[in-house]
Amino acid sequence: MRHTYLIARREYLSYVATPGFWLSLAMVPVFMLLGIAVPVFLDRSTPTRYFTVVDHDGRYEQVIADKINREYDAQVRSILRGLAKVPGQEAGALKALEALDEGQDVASASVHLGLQGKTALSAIKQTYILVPPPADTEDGLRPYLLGKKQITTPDGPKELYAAAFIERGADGSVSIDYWSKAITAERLKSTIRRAVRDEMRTEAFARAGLETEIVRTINAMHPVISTLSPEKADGEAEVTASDRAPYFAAVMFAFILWMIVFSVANMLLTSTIEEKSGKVLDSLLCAAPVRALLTGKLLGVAAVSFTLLAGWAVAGAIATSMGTQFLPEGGSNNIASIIGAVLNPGLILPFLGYFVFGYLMFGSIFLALGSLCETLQEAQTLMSPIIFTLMIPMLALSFALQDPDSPILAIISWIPLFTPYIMLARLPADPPMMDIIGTTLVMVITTMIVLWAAGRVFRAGAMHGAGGGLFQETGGVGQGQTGQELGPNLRLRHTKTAASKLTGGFFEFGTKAQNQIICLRSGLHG
Amino acid sequence: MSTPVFALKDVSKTFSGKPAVQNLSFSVNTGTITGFLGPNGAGKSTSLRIGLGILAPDSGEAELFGAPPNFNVLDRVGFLPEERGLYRKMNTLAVIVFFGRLKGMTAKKAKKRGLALLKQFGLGDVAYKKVKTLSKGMAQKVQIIAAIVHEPELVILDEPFSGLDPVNQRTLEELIRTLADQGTTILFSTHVMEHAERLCDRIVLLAAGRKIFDGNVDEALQTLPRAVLMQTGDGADPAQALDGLVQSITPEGGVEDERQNWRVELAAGADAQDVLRACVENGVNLTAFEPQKRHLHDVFVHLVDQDESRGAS
Repeated sequence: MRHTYLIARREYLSYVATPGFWLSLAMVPVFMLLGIAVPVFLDRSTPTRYFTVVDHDGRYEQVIADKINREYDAQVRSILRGLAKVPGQEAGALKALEALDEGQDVASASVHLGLQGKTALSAIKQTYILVPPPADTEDGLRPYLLGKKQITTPDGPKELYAAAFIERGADGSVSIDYWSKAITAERLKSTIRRAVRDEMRTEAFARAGLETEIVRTINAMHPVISTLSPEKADGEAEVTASDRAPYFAAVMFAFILWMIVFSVANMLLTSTIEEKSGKVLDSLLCAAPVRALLTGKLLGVAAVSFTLLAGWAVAGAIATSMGTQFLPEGGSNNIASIIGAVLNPGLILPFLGYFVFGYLMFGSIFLALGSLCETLQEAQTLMSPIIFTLMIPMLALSFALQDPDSPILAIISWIPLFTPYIMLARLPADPPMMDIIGTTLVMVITTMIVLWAAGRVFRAGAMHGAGGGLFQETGGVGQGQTGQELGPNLRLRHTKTAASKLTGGFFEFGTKAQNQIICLRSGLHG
Repeated sequence: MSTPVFALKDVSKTFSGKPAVQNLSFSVNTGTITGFLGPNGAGKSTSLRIGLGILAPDSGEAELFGAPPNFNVLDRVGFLPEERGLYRKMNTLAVIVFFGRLKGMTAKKAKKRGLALLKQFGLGDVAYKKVKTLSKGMAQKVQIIAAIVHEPELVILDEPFSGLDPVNQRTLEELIRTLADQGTTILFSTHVMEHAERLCDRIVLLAAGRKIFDGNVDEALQTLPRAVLMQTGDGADPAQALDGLVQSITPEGGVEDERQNWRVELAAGADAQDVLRACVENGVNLTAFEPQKRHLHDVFVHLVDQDESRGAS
């Protein structure tokens, strides 16, 4: 135990002392924060854009202004409805909504809100404001669009962001010339197009004899789709964000599991190679049993990954609590649902279990590989097939959200190397108990076998490094053969020829009586 | 008689059909300095690894402190492997403390002893520097310290002098003597005989995996025929004058100014005084006469040659 603890401790400290660890620790929360903060920041930092419409007919200018105001109004109401569900904010939010219904503007309505409400509301603003055209020709507007002249606004002189010239043809067709320096920005152009399109339709229906009001009612019609789950009780069958959250959380967990296993398995590989190439293993072999080396490394790096997970969890909790304050009703509800799903022991416990087995399987494989290689370049040739193998569950996970009951997922989940990721993603869909028990058993047995085999390969690989002088000892440089004990009935044999110095050698695994497995290893040297 | 702290009993080890160690038996007694000598590829490192339990022998037994090697008794052993390396990103003292703790020391004690040893080796100012900043010689000394920090009863050093400059070789020799004076048993392998000659109470000589000598330095020197180097002034052959006193007389080099060098191997029972007297009495024109000093190096070459001749025949 002493050896295992000390090796695990050294391994752990050697990683947490590196800048890479802190980068990894910071990376996920930073991206989480950025994911929440950047859109808010971008929205807040975007200046108010002033645009104008030159509509000689005068039909569409007001339609466009109304459309833009309605979009802004919808955003404000969404925030207020969200706030109405927050304890302590309900009364103010409802009063603000009433004020809006009475026709008050947002500034007037917001006086009913507390600090949190005002902060949330300040996150959105009216991005586009329609102003009267300072000129009614393209040449006349060009200096304003180029910033050579400024328009007068309630906020002072400003640059004109865009101008739309709306022309109506004799046949009733409408063309819009949209002028702006921001040639890739689509949002305002799209809003103008939709506003004009709706009005054109209304006009067309009116010409056909329908009353404008009826047309507007028809345009506003849309079917209300409710998603219902037969697994839920009558009257409560509607699928909510809380029902979907476990699926999202499970796939998210599966991705996190994959990411962690992949990163920490790489740590094991590089650390073993460093010890081999640095000839430290020789000293360690006399100071600690091989079993302690293997276990200590696995435990040390597992502790690193738990530290990362804990750090990410804390950062995630902080980020989500901050984020929910700024998100509109739907967003904060979804986040609350996902947090609820994430904190569900029914998902956390399997996640931890699958992490242990996934980590042990891939970690021990990478450790064994590391023990066979002298350099990272050598290891990379061996890692490629494993990386390709690891990519399969990643690809499969992309289907898991759409169809967690997919037969392909069911089949793949029986492959023990993929079980941790795929079964985790399948769990919310309540897979058959046979699948859960069966895949877990196969995974546990496979993990035991992999650990046993990796332990023996690690022992052999480590001792090969320790016996670097064996070619000298046997006097067979260029032609000699070395052998290392793997156990009572297993022997690792490394045949080295002059040619193998250039092209690589072969490790042969098998019983002493009959070698069975051959593993290519390149660049061996004694 | 005390139990040997290290023993190999009829140990053989073969790698893919090629014998690395053949029926090797030797033991190391408490408080001695034993040199484990042999040319490169003789099987020294393999033997030491078998003795430490890192490698399993095909046949025979290894014992440490009277028991098969295990990590309880290995805590009483300090081992400097031939392939040397340290954690390059750790600081010097931390590496020493780590190995000390692996061998059962407390962190506090390992740190105290590590610092003392670093100072003794003139490395006090690099205690908190990263290993990767150390020179090769410094790193090697740090590794030696890491091997002995836990004050082991038995210290096994595999080629400890290789890579060290003459000054540091001397420092290491002094350390070995100091450790031995404190009662530590030392077993070290080398193919540089001067160190063994200066340090060892006992030497075990290995060639092609077989033990070809086991005894003290004087006994080793006795295996060499005594010889005299002499020079005659008139080019005459002194063989006749020395009849009965010599085993062989061999001219060395060419004749220069009618002067000829001779290497004279003495017959059993004869000594250099007898040869000198015979030369004088028989009128041999001697211009130089020097009894040849025997060194372990000559013993080494002589025994290895002898062993190879036997193997060839």
